[in-house]
Amino acid sequence: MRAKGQIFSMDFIIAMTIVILGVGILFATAGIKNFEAKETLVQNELNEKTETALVALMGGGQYNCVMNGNVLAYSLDLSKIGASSPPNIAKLKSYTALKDYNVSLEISGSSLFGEDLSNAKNIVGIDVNVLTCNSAVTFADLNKCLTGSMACVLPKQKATLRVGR
Amino acid sequence: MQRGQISIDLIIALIVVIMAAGSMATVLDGYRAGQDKILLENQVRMESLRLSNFITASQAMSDINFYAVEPISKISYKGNLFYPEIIIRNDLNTITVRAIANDMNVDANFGFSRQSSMTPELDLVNNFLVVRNAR
Repeated sequence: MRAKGQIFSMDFIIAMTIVILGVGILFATAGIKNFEAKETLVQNELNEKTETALVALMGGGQYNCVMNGNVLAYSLDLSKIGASSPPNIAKLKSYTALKDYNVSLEISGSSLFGEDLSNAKNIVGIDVNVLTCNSAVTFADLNKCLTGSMACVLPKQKATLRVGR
Repeated sequence: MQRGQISIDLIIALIVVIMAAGSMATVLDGYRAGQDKILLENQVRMESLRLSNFITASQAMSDINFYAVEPISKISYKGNLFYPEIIIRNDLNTITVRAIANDMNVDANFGFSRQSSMTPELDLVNNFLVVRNAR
């Protein structure tokens, strides 16, 4: 009903409220989508960093077992990682280009070294099967392991690299 | 009300509609500009990450002499495709990818690791990142 001096009708106010609500929901949805996209980007970035670090760690030569003078890919010489006590985490992080991240490395569930990942918003962990040794090995040592000998000095273990930020 | 007279209701309604449309256009413009910037930043960041990872992963071949090339990707911004500027600091082991678009300048910096025998460099003629290893 129109009263004298009345500017806005009830219909108009309701219509405007619905329009503003609709626009608000639209922008809120867009904001959530943006946030999700950013989270995905951060997660992908962390994934790629971890995968690359693992490639460097498993094949770079610095921490691998040496077999008859050759670097054995996908192996870890535990004596090289834990040579200093406590292990030189900074050196390993620098080697794997993970200086700005928190890193932990486990071998078959037991921690070789670990930084605190509890405050990290995103954590990526990758498992990889590796041969482990504690000193230089020979082809004969590898052969013993392949034939199932009890005296295997290159046991296959699961290495888990966790990276958080 | 006289014949041909425009009512105050109509005028107010028109003003409100024009104001609403104007504010909506401004908000949408701001939103689109924000999205363009985010898209540019993401592309630059991903390219920087990709190239730094390429150098770090090259260490897996460091026991042999090699020459590895990785094409640099173009950046897309507002319908234009262009190559970003790449700055490699071998003393700091960092790579910076910079996109200079017409109205903004976006940088992304990532660290890499390398053996002392490895040299990352740019082939600006072919737009490649080249990693050489001489043992």
